[in-house]
Amino acid sequence: MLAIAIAGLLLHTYMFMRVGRSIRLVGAEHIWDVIITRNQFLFSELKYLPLLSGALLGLSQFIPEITNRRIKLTFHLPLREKTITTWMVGFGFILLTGLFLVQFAGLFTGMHLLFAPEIVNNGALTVLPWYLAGLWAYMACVFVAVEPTWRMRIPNMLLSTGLIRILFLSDFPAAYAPIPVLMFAGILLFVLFLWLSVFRLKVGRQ
Amino acid sequence: MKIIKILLSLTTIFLLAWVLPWLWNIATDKPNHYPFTYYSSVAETFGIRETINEQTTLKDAQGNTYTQAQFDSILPMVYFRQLTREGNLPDSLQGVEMNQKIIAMNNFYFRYRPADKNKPVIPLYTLFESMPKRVDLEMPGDRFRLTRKLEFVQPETNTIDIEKSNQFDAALREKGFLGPPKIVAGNPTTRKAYDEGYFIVDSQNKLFHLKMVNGRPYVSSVDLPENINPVWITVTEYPARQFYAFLITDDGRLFTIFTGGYEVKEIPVPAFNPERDNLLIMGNLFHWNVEVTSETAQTLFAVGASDYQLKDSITFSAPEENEKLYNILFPFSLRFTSVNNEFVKPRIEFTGFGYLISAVLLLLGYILIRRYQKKSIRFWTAALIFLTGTFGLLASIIIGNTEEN
Repeated sequence: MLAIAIAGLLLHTYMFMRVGRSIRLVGAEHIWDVIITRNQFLFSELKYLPLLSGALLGLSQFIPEITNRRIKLTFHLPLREKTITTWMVGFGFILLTGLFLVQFAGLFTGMHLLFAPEIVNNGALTVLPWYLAGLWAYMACVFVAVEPTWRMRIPNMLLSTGLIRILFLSDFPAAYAPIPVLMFAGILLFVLFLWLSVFRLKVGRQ
Repeated sequence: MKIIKILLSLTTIFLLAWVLPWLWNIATDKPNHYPFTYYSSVAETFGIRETINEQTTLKDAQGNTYTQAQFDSILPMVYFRQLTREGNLPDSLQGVEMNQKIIAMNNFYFRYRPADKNKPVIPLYTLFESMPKRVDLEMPGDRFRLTRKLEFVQPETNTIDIEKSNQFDAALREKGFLGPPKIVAGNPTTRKAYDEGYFIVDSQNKLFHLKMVNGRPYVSSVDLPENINPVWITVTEYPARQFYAFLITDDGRLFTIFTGGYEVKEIPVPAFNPERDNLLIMGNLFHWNVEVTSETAQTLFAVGASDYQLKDSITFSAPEENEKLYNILFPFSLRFTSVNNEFVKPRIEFTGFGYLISAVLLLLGYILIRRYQKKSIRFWTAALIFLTGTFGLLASIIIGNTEEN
């Protein structure tokens, strides 16, 4: 988790250094012009960072539990399995959301210093699907990892990949502007799906 | 849990409805080639150049065939460079004097694609000095935003130039502008011959022309025909300076805004669909070739450049696509992207009830197999197969029966 946070920090620093350099070299007016008339997004290196962060966190949190069958053991504790999973997933989810919010706030503030609000809003809409992909990916990892049988793990994997792919269909800045609600609803969908996996684990599907 | 399982089935079905038709199209898509067609001001019919299997035929709409030299001579507005080199360019046509320079200056190409309009924009615009002291246009050092008020923002400091903003805002208001605008159209590039600033449609559907002349605002209000609702304007800035802009309305009518008095004239061609059809106008001294390309056909209209009368038209149909099997297999398709729209959002397209043929067969198959296996028939699985055909069956194979957790 610390590694994920540091990677994010480094990438952000690098991106702003590069944008700062471009502005010094060719002038802010030209950079604005490139963003507005040529539909360039300056922070496109960010694209897969949240996705990787989410997936790594999900895997590192749940793979050991599954391979060692520890999660089954935790379910024998005198706590209800719902409570345990909620705690585990909730902890990861809040950690990830917190990290993403910090990154997002950094980007937002940095952009505000350099650009007009119109450009900042466009940028925020551009990175929104990428960050949501990170959250989806985290949930998807749990959905796949907790699932007890390979018979369902593979369909779950395909389904998750398909759904997450939707968030990377267009590189056009702010192309996802019409569907933020649907993208947030996606999180809910994954919560329900991973609930199904938890249920199947509990009843002991082989 | 059952509800979640149904939700999982539905999600799978939607993903299949996205992936399968996409794969189908990759496997079966054929290119759509229309011949190059251009109205001949000499022969007063369409010249058609068609290449099939690397064999090029040159003919006209009446069926006459031509050699390349003959074809060049009936289309002097296209092949004037070739004709000039061979010394075969006439010095006048229909009583109008012409040479290579005059033809080149009056030729223009105007292209409109639905995706030009349907895409995210950052509403900050560059207003150039229209009367620059030097020959070339220069970046002005600021950009304007236009909502209820007009404001100039300076990129170097990310601050607002209050004095200039007030001056231009007052000029717009004085002419009756009421924000926020519906359309702000201009060409934010220095690589053009001259600058005509912006054409702006305000919230009341009133049209304004805004320019910066010697650092000061120039605003003019333009009278539009009654009951039109503009959705797109392209400022042309062509060398001949005959007109300022093309305007497209929501119902697909086309207008030209002329220089010298802002006369707004309708181009006499049938309405097209600005959400789905591509438009290309190839204009010359004598005629405008208005080409409308839809999904199923391409129609070329010839319009007189001076009298604005529709002279002739010709339609080419796209080759019939055999979609019977597609319609039987797939009840609907889901797409997130579109060539006519840069935005990503779900777009569901129903193919009709032809899919019921496959759905009923698949349902029967499902019932027979379950009977044979001596298992009970699951209501939701059966229902989804009936409602979504192939998708439903595949979904039940991929993720199992809806009722079984």
